[in-house]
Amino acid sequence: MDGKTVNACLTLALEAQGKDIMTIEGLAQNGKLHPLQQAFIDHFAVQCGFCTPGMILSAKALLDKNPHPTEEEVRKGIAGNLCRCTGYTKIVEAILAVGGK
Amino acid sequence: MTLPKFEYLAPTTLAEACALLAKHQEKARVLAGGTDLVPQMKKRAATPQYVIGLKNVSGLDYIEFDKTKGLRIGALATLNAVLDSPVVKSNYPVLAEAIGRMATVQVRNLGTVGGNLCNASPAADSGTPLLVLDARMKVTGPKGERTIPLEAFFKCPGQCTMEPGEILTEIQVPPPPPKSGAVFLKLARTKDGICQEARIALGSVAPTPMRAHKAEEMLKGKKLDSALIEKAALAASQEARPISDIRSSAEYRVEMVKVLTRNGLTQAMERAKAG
Ligand SMILES: Cc1cc2nc3c(=O)[nH]c(=O)nc-3n(C[C@H](O)[C@H](O)[C@H](O)COP(=O)(O)OP(=O)(O)OC[C@H]3O[C@@H](n4cnc5c(N)ncnc54)[C@H](O)[C@@H]3O)c2cc1C
Ligand code: FES
Repeated sequence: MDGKTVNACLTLALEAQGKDIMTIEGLAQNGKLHPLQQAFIDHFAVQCGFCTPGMILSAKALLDKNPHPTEEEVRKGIAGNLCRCTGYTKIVEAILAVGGK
Repeated sequence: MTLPKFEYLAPTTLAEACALLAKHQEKARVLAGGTDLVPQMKKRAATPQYVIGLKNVSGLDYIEFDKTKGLRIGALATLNAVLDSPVVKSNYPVLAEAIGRMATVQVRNLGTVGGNLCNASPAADSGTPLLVLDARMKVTGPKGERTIPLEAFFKCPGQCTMEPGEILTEIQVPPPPPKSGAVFLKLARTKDGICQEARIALGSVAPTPMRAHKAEEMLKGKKLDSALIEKAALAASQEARPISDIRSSAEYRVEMVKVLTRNGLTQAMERAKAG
């Protein structure tokens, strides 16, 4: 919301009025995946996919602020997004790969 | 979980917000970031008829620092805004340290320091550093403005000493004392290796975040050696009044107060010497 990640379950719809909302659906441009989306595929960072929207948008917010994060910064940046499948390692690798470019 | 039915009011000035709160009294709750209140409402632990959203009140999200006056944090400044503030990082690193360990990025983008303190949880993480930094709370209400020392602001779990109709507007932190060092547990001021003043705040071990005044008194004007630090740590653990719950037992918490106070004092001494 307005460029910052927030939990939808804690945000009243009334308080989102007039705000710029970006969800995972808005990330791909003209049918072309965002580099983070492509990296998640390339690094096998998606299994069931439930956590993926939150992970990718958290990663985007992190890279917008800090384009070349360390592994620790990546782990802190996605903290709070729980993944039951991947064990996080692949997700961290995917984000680091985009951050390394 | 769904929210119970309520009416959302969106004042655009502080005066309007106060008037609404005065009108609806205990039927209304103020909402800042909502990261405490929204879950409480979903669990039906809070069922206000009116929710007064502060987000449209402009000019309350400032973070300002002045060398002589200290730091002023507007009630709507988010946790992440305070965490990322260069003046907080350089002048009050202990506050940034504590906030950096709170919650998650998403929650810190919504939640405010003011909400953390008004919610008055015994475990409020900004409570302990701000107690050590001698913060004051500026509130405004039907009877006008007043400031309350943070230590007198906490009443019991979930309650602070604001009067009905009062709203927190600003958190004031005095300038950091020279040659002081704080870690996320305590602060010591030294001169020639003598401790001028020590402040020890403890969280999650009493009904509210608290200061360990007896332990602080033992350190004042003394040279801090390991024997004295050990004695003060023991005193602090005796001042704590923890409960046993699902997270840990009271005995364990008392023991940990001793260990963390000892480690905290030792580290703060080192920081004070370095700074
Ligand atoms: C997933 C998650 C993790 C969390 N982790 C932590 C953690 O690690 N440490 C921690 O301390 N907290 C944690 N919290 C709790 C919460 O995020 C913080 O306490 C936060 O600072 C609350 O701020 P808020 O602006 O969201 O408060 P709100 O929910 O808006 O308000 C909290 C209370 O304060 C009152 N209030 C708010 N502003 C004012 C004002 N200006 N004047 C008068 N009354 C006011 C409200 O009426 C309400 O009763 C966590 C919460 C979540 C959901
Ligand atoms: S991929 Fe299944 S929860 Fe993360």
